[in-house]
Amino acid sequence: MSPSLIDAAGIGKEYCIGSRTIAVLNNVDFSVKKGEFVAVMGPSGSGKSTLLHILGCLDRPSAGTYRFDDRDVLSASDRELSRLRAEYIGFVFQTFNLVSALNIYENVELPFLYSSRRASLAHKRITEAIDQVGLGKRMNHKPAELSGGEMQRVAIARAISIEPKLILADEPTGNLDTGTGAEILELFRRLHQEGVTIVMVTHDRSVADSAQRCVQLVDGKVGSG
Amino acid sequence: MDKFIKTIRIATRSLMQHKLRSFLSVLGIVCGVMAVLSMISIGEGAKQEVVQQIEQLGTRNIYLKAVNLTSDQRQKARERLSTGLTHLDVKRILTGCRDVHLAAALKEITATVADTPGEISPQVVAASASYGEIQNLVLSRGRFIGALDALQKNMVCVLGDDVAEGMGAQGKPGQYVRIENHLFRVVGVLNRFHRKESKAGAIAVRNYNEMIFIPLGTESNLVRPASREQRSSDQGLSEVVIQVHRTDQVLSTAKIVDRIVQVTHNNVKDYQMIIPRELLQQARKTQRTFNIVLGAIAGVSLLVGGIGIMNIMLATVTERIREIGIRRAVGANRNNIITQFLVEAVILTFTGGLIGIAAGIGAVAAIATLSGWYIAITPWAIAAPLVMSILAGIFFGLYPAVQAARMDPVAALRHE
Repeated sequence: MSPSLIDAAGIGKEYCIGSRTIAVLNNVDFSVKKGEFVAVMGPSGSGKSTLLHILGCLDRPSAGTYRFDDRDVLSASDRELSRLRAEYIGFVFQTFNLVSALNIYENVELPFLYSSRRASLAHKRITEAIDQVGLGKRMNHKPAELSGGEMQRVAIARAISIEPKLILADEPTGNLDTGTGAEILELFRRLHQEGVTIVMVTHDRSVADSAQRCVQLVDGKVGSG
Repeated sequence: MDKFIKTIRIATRSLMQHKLRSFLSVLGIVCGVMAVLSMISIGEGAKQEVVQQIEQLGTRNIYLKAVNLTSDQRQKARERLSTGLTHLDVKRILTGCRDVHLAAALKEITATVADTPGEISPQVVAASASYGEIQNLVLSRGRFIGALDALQKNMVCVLGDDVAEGMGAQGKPGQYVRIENHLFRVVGVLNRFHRKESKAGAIAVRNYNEMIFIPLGTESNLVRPASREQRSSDQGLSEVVIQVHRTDQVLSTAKIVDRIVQVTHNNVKDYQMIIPRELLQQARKTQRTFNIVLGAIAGVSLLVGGIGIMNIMLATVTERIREIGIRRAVGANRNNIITQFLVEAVILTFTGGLIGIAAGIGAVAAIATLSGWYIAITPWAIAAPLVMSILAGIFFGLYPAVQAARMDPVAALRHE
């Protein structure tokens, strides 16, 4: 049995809006083994994205413990968390989240600005990643010149360029038509076959089906998958 | 290092997205830097000019100059038995002050010189032998007036460069020059003297190029019997120059000289004392005041420019909240975000600084040609505003950058 990459237990997250406290996540246990492809399903407002942000070290839980790759994340500083993200975690968002001022190459290059990797190595990885998503001939194009599917490919290239231990995808097909969505999912399946660990959040059953395992999240609690 | 260069490149890319906006926001800095550069250059030029003039007067020297008296004052002077600057003053100063190295007297003569071309009207002066040494007069040919010439009242003369040139073959050692009705043998010709033109009359350096020196004492032959009035005004010396051994003795010696002359002149102020060293110190003091004013102006203009930068950077940060979230998601820590926005701010102000320096040099060059002022662009005049523009970028970019870094990454990513 392969060791756990993600080991989160009793995760709770509360937001204060004015005087009210809203619990978004409530005692969530969640673990993912290396090489797994897990889908997190649930209706909107169920806390899927919040969970994803916590798993991606972008956000801190209000309660619980979280170990990523056998490292205690909760006690880590901002600098250490940023380092984890830069070296090991790739994000893919529903809204692509590319920087409009930068071309494809520079967008994919972004994580390397914040990691300790050597520049010569970075260039190789960046071009490989862009080739891998099939945009090798359009490196100098700006995001505005791309279609939705292409933008999402760039985002995926950005995520895989750092050879991450974990890819976190937040509704990656949500803004795409069915055909393009299927292509993106196919890309994820291929990455999974190459051994990348993927956690994907979606509210779409058919999308979740491409994963190995599915976790249901309802009202901030884990239900049965 | 490589990453820093990339950060700069990406920052430039972001700024270039809004060329006009970036340019306009930087105008304040451009004007500030331009103002600072031109003011430093004008101030420095003025200072150098004054300093050079004063240095030509000699910082070891003390000048006593005869003052042109009104008839009223002349009457009073006569009542108190003061006859203006005389040889007696020189003698007393030489015996009375320990630190005096040399003293020389000079007397301006109104006399016509024959055979000079129209454009030159030589100034004839009778001078002591030591005058040449005190003023560092260098001869291109021959010798200066000697001590013996004064003693024996030798009818010799030394020509300034322009005079000698104007006289052609006659202006050479061994030839004779006719002054009034007397012939003076030329014994020497002065080297060309590069005189610093002066605007302030009090410290005017004599134009030796247009002068003819004759031994002090021989001038009495020249006075035309017809002009009695002339004679009385020609009586005293025009100038006494005293040179001390070292510059630090100037001020103390000047005090003693003043006391001695006051006594011989019975408190009649028919002379004026000029101490180049004191003028130099005054010039420095004035410069310091000027520098303070300059600093204040520079500060205000950079403040104004800086506020413009801060404004635009705050707008940029608000506009790019989403981008900040993206960068945080792919691994940027707070310091990376601060660096990024600081780099953008500094690129703005530094570019502004460069443009300002180019514009400033242009403006200064234009001022120099239009006004004829002496202007010195020192390395300092370029470095100082450039450094200030960088500092302004850091200072005014810091707050927006920190704002950006403090943002919650998740909220930033969700920002519409």
